[in-house]
Amino acid sequence: MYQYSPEDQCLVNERVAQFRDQTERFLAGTLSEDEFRPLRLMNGLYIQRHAPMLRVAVPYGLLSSEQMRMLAHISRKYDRRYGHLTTRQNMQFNWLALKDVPDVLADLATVEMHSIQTSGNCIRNTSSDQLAGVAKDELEDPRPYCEMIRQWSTLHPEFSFLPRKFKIAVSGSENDRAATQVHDIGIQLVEHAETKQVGFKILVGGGLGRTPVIGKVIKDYLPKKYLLSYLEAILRIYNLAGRRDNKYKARIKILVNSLGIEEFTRLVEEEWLHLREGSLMIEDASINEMQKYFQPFDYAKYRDESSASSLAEKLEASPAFAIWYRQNTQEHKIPGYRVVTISVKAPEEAPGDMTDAQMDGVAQLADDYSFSRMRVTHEQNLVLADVPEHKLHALWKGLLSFDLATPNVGTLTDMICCPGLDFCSLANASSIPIARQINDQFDDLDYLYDIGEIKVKMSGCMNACGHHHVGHIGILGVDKKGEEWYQITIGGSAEEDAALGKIIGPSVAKENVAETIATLLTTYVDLREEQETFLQSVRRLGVAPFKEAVYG
Amino acid sequence: MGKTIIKDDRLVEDSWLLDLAAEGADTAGESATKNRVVSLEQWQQNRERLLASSGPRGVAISNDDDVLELADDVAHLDLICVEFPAAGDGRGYSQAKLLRDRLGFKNEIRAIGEVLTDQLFLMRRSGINAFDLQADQDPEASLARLRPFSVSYQ
Ligand code: SF4
Repeated sequence: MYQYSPEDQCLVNERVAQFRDQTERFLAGTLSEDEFRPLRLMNGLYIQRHAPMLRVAVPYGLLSSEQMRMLAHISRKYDRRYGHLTTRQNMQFNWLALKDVPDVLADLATVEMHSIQTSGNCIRNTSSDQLAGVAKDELEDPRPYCEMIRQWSTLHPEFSFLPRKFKIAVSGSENDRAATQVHDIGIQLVEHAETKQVGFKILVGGGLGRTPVIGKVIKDYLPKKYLLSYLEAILRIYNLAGRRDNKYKARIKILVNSLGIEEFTRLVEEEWLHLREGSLMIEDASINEMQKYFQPFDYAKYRDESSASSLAEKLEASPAFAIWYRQNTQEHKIPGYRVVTISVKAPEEAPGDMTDAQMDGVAQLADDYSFSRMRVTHEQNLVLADVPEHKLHALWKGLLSFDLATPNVGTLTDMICCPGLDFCSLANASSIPIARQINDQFDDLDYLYDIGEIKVKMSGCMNACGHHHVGHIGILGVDKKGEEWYQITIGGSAEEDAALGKIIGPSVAKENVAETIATLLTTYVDLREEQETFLQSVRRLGVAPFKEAVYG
Repeated sequence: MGKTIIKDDRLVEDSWLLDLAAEGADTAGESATKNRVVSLEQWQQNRERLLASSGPRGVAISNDDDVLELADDVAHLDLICVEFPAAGDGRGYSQAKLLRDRLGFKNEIRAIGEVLTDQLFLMRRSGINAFDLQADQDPEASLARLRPFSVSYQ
């Protein structure tokens, strides 16, 4: 995991001091509301329905147990003893007092954390694959490049007032778990066809929101040393030419679409010619240095020769453990280890919400069983990436005691859900109560297992924080004359087979959402061919039979 | 008394007169003693005459202008004003950067328009070295906040 240098620490400390000064001036009345707004937004601070909401950056989702304990502490000391995991792998707090925020930031700085650029029209937290470094299908660990991008983009003087927010994701494997095709810039590590050297494929202009677009390839292969100069060229063209007259047309996807990808590429390449051999060139030595922070753990240390047999015994002895093992753990590139997904989707809780006790609990479990590290996933769960097999049973028991062992990962109730009307001032409709309705309707785990892998994603408005366009089932809250209605899409995906879902028909009333989903699933069960997932069935059959079933 | 601006980390009295209206409309009063800044369009239309005149020359670019059009002119200019019509409009940062890095402009680049205390550090780091603050901003307080960071990544 990356460790701050004295310079990194200094920058974060000075950022705290700067924000303290700005907040004090605002509270004293010498800084106007209008002037303060962009300044607080640059620091992840929104004014929401109830109180300010602070979004804390978790760079590419990676956390140490010490950091997790600090988040627990913050929720206890300044908030209502819980926090919320976001789809950008961050954590946000909903009930802070503005006057406390500088102190919160100072506390965060003691564990190398901050909230820089978690909102505002700037380059946001770079997101990545939650299995980075442990996935078998990975070409290379993407996190060193994420960290380079984090540093390059932090307080970037030229790109702090872009036309709109800007999101970058990096994936190290062909199976895209970082949703790179729906980001402003998507970066995929690829091998050069002839030289076999690893470099980057760069996509641009993807995104969700009001106008969902799949990203287009701007560079098939970029040698590693040019990563930052190429990003700088894209950002400069966007900063100068992106629309600023209409915030709904200000994302880079609109610029790329209006110029056409050929012309946009030409402009970027021309700009890049001036930058490529300049100071942004990344030397091999710096890549090596950065990679040292993300080395594999000493896996031999915990390997236990008897692990396979002791695991087998436990699986045999406890059906509940066996179900959790099957559903919430997956293969690790090192035999004898498993990747564990901690479901933060207990049926009675809002998806992604964690109490302070759960945060502390997970920190302790990570210390005990997974090298003191964890990852936040964009699906609003946590991952303990490096658990020795013979520790799985003890880990499971620990998770059970914190109500974090719901064996529903990858199933219908493992939903992505934005905060919606309960917290968000932009919302058209609620999403948390819909999640609850779905949980109530589908409380039979065996049925969920029979349905198999399905990704439900829900947003409370067009801003699409819940990524509804790319849900196998997407749910979008809409406002109809002051009433909450829900538009349902099917067939979306954020992975390597990225696609935008298709609307099945007119939106449905609030009380009918779970029932509508039930109809979609029954239709799937009736029509599926052997081994076919919901998404595959939708792709084969089209929307028609599902539409027919729902609307008759 | 002219107004006070921040230039090279100091408060100084402004010696320029921004004259973006029709060229030569007013030659009385202040304008007689001050150096004039003209718009890019005025500059391009009257280039030969302005180059022939003695005294300092200044051009103000708007954020729709392509600064690279000044490639052949930067050697003859003493001041380029970069306009920030709204504090949230960040085009001026890229324009300043291009003027410095691409065109090698060495003289004064001045931010004009909605120029606010808390953005000066970003402007300074993009190559802007003079700041004509929005009227309600406190020059002393702004000067004190010119360098909130002692380190940077870029
Ligand atoms: S999708 Fe809309 S309602 Fe949900 S969090 Fe985003 S802005 Fe708020």
